[in-house]
Amino acid sequence: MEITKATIMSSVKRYQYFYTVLFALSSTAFITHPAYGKSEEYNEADDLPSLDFDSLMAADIQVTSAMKRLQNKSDTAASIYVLTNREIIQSGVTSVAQALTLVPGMQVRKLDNNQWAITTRSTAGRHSSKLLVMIDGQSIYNPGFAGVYWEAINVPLYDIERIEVIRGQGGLLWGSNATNGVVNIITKHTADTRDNIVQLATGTKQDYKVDFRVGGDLVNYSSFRISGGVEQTDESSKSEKDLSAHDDGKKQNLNGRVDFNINDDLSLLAQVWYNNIDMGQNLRLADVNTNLSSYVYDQYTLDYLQLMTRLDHRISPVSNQMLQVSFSSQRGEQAYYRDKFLTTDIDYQMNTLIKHTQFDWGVNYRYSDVFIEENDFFSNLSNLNHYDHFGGFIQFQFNLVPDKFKLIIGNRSEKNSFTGWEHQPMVRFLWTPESRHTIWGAVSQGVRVPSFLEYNNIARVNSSLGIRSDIIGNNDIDAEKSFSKELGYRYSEDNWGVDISLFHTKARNVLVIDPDVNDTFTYITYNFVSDGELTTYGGEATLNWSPNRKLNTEIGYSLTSYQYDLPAGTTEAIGHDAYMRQLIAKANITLTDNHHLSLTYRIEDGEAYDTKDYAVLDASWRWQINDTVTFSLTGNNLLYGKHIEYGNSSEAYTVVTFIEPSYLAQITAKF
Amino acid sequence: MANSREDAIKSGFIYNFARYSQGSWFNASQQNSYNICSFNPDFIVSAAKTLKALSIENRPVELVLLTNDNPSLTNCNTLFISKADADVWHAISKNEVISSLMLVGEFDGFLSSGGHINFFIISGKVRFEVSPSRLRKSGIKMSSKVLRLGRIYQGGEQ
Repeated sequence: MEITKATIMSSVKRYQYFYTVLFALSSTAFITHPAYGKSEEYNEADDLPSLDFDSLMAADIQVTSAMKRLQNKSDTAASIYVLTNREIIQSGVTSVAQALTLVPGMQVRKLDNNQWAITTRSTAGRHSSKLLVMIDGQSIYNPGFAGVYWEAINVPLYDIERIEVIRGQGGLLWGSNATNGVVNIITKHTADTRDNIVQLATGTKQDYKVDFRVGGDLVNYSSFRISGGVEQTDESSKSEKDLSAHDDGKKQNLNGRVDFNINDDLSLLAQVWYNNIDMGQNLRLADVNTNLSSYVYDQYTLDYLQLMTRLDHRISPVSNQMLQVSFSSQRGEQAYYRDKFLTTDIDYQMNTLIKHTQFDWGVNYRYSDVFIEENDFFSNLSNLNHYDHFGGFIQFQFNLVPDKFKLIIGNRSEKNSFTGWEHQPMVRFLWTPESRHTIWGAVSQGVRVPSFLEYNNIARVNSSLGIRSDIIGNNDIDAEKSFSKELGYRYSEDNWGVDISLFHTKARNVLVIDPDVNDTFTYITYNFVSDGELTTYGGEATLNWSPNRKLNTEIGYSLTSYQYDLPAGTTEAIGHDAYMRQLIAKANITLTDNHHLSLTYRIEDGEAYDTKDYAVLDASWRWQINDTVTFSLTGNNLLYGKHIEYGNSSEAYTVVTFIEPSYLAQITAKF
Repeated sequence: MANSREDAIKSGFIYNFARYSQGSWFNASQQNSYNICSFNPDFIVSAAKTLKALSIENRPVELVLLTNDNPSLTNCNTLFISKADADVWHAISKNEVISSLMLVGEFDGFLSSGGHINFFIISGKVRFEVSPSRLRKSGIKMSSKVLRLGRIYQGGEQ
């Protein structure tokens, strides 16, 4: 058979998801900081979102105090969505990843009974997302591929205060890797978890799930909690291939947090998370003798330890500062990939209000020790075993017309080990012509720095031609730069509201694949180059309506267009040209004082994942038996039957399974 | 160093304390308004803005500024003592009139000296501790759901 570049191009198409899966980009995106959410001049006191207890408990006493947190939704110049603890609990979801299915505009695809691919305004991959994911301001991504092991995020849902989602580049100042968006998981202060919980669950896809929490007081209004759990998931009944699904697994986690209240103005938070997962998966690997694809059953383990301390200091009623130091250690073992990381992060931030202008600035430093074991499938280009980045941000929020028009200007500049200095400037405005109407807009540039794997690794992949094939990292690739324009409108009445966001993003220096073959046609290389361009555009719209206190409804629609402009001879590295459409309808119904029903209907449409369009219904009934005990019954993926959510059958590693209807019964005792 | 936002948040709590309580300290059939009193003018301004147009048992919420010269407590339903007015509190805490009010403060020693609910700040957020037994003594039964949100004060009775 004659092997030409065109043949290889055809072959390489088969791997585009593979690249997506493994070589996600490590975006050191820019970051626009947190504080765009506040705004009013210091003396304004009537900007509380509402006076219910939940809002009051969540409200910061200073307008300057948001560190990587949103303030008031109506006062934020970005496309945002907030999942409250109440909605998370009432919906019956059992994980953070599943909770994100409740957010309009989030691309949430389940690969098997444990693994997920999640992002927004883009195509999601198993390991790629360009999404900054944080727990209490601590980034939780794998430094190797800059993606997230969603199955290892086992934060007990009852410990979560809320999950804030920013779609698009609105969170660029929050941290690296935020060009598609931000998911910020904010856990409850221990002062609000000073009780004990035991929770037991079982169902058709979960053999058992046992969680607990113990909380209590310490001296001087300080408090603590310890929580944890163990979960055994069952195997799916059908794999995409003629294999046993092998996607059962066990997860264990243990978490602790202490909040020391030194005085009214000074507090210290210290927390630790430990997660261990041990789960089965099917892989498609290259046969080391024939180079053809072979299917392998693998038992995949991951140990994940995070430590974080944060000192918050209120300097004055109009100024505060924060110092956060965190460590993250991961050790993963899969049949084709073994890695070990230790990352240290140091962040300092200060927020000050000077008359009508809020001034925010901060500096940060990250150091990662990296070890990727060389084996039949992976090798390193050089002996690089660490990388770092450091930099800072600055942001001004000008209240040009108090309560009417705010202008926000900021920039984050960071130097990283791979591409040097990168700059991420942004300009935003927020116009409130009348109290119920808000119009916002933004122009920003995000930067995505290559991941460690894209920069320094060689990965062996299978070949339908039976020829040795490798994906080759590149020390000379540039950071991807994306220029984004956004426009939004919000209207809010007492019992209904509308939220619309539009975006157009054009990225250059986009990672693409340049295939090549040697003269003897015995070795194919798929070389990373940063020569592509990528245009994405679309929007999200939500309409919420609460006719009375017993019924809350919401409809959300989102559209994303994802289009490459490829240089001749190259092909996509992450995703492919596609449209993605999504419709979500939600209803939370209080049937009686003790009975509650939550319904979520979701339609996913588009060719991005090589699947059929599908629709699912999730329903959860919750019965408060008495002050101590709650029982819930939840059904997921109802109506549509078995379906594949991530159908890129040519993807080289993960072999997905059919996602099936499932049922879960859960009983919770709080005392 | 309370600011207006902090006062606004606390006034929201105070409003909810009243909303979620039952008892003889407030009789809607005999009063035209629910009166929240304080010696702190800054608090009164912030609270008036925050609680504008709100009502309790169909009675509008009114903010009443007290003065040291004339602390007319008889029309109050909730009395808020700010940190700056701790001295005033010590002067009036034995006054028989306050035994039938909901007493809210924001400084150390408020509960041990006879108060019902005391605000404190942790990590930039407002939280409260509450003495259910003292509330009951004043004829106030607060919802258990609200009590769960606060720290239960177990200190000795005055």
